[in-house]
Amino acid sequence: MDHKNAKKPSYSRFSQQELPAWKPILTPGWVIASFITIGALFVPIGLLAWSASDNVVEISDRYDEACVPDDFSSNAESFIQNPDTEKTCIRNLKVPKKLVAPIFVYYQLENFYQNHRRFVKSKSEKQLRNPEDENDMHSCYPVANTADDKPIVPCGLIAWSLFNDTYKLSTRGKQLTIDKKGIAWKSDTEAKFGSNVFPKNFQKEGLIGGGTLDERIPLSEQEDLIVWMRTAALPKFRKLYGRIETDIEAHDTIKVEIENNYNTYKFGGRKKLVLSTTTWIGGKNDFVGMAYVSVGGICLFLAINFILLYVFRPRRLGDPSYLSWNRHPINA
Amino acid sequence: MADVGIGISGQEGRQAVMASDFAMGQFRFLVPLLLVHGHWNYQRMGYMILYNFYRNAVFVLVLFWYVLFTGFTLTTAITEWSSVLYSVLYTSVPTIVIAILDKDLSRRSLLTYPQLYGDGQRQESYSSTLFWLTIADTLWQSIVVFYVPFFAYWKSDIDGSSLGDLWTLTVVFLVNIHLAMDVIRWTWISDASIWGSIIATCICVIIIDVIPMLPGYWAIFDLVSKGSFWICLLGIQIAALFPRFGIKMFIQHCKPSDIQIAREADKFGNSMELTGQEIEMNPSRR
Repeated sequence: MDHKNAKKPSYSRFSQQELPAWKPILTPGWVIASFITIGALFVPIGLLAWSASDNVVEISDRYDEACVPDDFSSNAESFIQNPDTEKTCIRNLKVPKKLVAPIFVYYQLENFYQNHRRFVKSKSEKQLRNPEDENDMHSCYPVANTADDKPIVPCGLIAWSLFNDTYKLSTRGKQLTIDKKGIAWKSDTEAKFGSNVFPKNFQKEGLIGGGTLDERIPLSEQEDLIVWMRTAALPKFRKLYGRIETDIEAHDTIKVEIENNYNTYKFGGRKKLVLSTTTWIGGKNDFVGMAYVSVGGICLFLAINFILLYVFRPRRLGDPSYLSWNRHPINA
Repeated sequence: MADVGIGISGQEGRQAVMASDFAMGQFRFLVPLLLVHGHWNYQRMGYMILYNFYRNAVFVLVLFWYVLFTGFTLTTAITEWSSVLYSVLYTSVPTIVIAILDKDLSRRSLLTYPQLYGDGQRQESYSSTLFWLTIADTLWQSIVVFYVPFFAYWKSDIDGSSLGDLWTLTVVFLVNIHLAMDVIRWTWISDASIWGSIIATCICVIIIDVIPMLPGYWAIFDLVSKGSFWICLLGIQIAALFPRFGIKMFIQHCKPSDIQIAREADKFGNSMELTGQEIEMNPSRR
């Protein structure tokens, strides 16, 4: 009777769920082996990372409170906002260990939310790239155009709040040259900031948020601005100020001449100058090393526990006495 | 109260068929329908519901933890395009494939030992306890995924887009490796979907970061040149998954479910008959 088979769906291994398959079962041997492998891998990596972080020499100096003169100590805001006060400040840094070139000079800001949602949005990508798009300011409110409707280039709060403290370092009477070229990402200088876009009407009226820009230099060469506009991910961050290409010997004293211009006093922010070397793991950070060692250690501890478990409470694989209907047998 | 209506079409006509959820031609088809397909369906649905809660919650919780550090202004840790593609491309295909194809026991075992159907009656694949355990596991994994890069890059000069890329890649890897840990039966399709999704994610993140119009331009290339990125990526997977792995192996050893025993018996060839016991129902062989 042919029509009986006509309704049968066509057979395929996929539709009948009979594809060849690998059915792994983790036996005790595999469990112990995995924990031991993880432990054996993680502890050495953790120790390597920890020692790399230990090798980093970092000098960090908080200067925002110390650089306010005593007569303004209770009113730092009026000190910083007054254009006539003397903003130069001298600090001395002690060098604990030899710093091998290249030494990176950073400014570190704390309690500064560059990741605030409205701050991050407040810029115009088109305007930065192309001089003809200078009127593309819809996302730049409140720093979009001047009172007489002329466009501000670059517009937006990120550019407006440009960090403008400067540092001059010297040691043993000789000035240390800080190389300020090549501090921004090359991809930014080539593709995001136009080489024929010049600052216009920038920081001219209203509230002053930060530094000014030289109108003769195109945006692709304004590396401080480019570094600043790569908004930081976390509220405690540092940004590259420059590079020192000579070594600094241990136990030297570095004299730093700071122009304390940037106003972090209004919102309780903090400013620090940081000199640091780097290794393959970045700057000084013990966390990754410690975390790896901890996880590796816990895995080795678990491996030992599992070995004890399998030795003192063994279970044969596939042992039918563990089946629920064999543990509670139903008698006919 | 009935859960499913099954109609048998036959001599008395098709009225039952019209009113039913499933219809078939002969009474003997009821046995595989229940014992085989019913069991597989229950196990797949139970696991998939728990996995989907986990997959979505882990992603959202990473965004949640980040909000605490943006002055509560809801900046998204992960770029908008990756957020959209997460559910659509990065993690959806393995979910669907495993939900359709994963089998915990073979048809033969299920038909030979009908008592295995009791697993569904005892709610062993989905219950309130399992749900809350899944949520606790999700919370732990999201804490690891968020806070390891957070502490690793605290006080550094990393920018929002790069850290967002790290979180995106970490979450996608984690969610897929978690699924890989739970897959019972690996076919070539499961392999292709899980590892393919991971590769697709990497490609998409690279493509998103090659568009100059977007703020995260070139962030991924800058990120992979840092040694700390690779170390974080590896460490997070292991740190997030080892508690789940340990607990699962412990329960598997000390309180094995019927399914677990049946799988081991299948693979290592032990007979599941315990001499001297009666089995309730006559096995129906196909």
